[in-house]
Amino acid sequence: MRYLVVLMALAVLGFSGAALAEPISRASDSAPVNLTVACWVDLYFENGENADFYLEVEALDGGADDVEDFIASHNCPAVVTGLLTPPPGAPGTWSWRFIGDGQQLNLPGAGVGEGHVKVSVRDITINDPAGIYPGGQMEIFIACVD
Amino acid sequence: MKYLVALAVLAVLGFTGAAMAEPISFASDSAPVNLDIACWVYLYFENPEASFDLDVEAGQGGAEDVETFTVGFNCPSYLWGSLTPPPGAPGVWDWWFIVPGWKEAWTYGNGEIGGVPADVNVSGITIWDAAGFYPGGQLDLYISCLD
Repeated sequence: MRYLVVLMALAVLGFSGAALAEPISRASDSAPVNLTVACWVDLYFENGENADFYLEVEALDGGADDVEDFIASHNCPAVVTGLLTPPPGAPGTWSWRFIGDGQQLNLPGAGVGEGHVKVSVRDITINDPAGIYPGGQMEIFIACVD
Repeated sequence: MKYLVALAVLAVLGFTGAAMAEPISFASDSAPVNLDIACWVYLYFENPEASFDLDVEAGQGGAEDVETFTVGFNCPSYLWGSLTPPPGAPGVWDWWFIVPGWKEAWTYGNGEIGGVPADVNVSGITIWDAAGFYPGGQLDLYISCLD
């Protein structure tokens, strides 16, 4: 009987050993992969710090224009607009626009493009003193539409 | 050490993920706007047919004629003139503008003034001066910016 018990114990250990020795040579799992690209816009005058709307009204002329180029970058639908502040005390009728597009640019999709801003002054007469009128500013903005 | 490395990797991934996901949904730029109005002056006789025709009647020693002109300026300016009597014409010739005796003037400020008189006159005509028509004289008026 004693031998039988020993034999059974050995058998159990042997089978267990065989089960433990079975190789697990491959395994797998999966996880989702997602990408989020945030909305990203950029806008700058091409001339950088030298960008300057300098309107020169010559004698006999009633007005003047100046144009500066800018670069708009966007990876989402975006809108570009602007705000003109004429030089303090400057005479005339002031206006601005994006050449060919009024005062609002709608940019679909994604991309990089060049635009042109024109600042104009009209209605300068002989009653408007000659001189330099500094201090105005043309601001342009870009914003995601999302 | 193993945990430290794992933590560092997670931190890097975390920060990178945060940076990439951060939206930049607005941007702007600005440029100065300046206006430069050049000095501008003009002057013209109001009558396109302006002509100083001085008729010395018999018994008179002289004559004068007046034309008006308009002057415009958007800066301080200087006005003056020059009279060239008709070649060979007798008498003593003189001219003035604005007020008698003025042959130069300065403007300040800006604007347009019309109806400014310019006078050409001749005196000292005597019986010894041959009757006739003496053409070819000229009155020139000028304006110039002082800047």
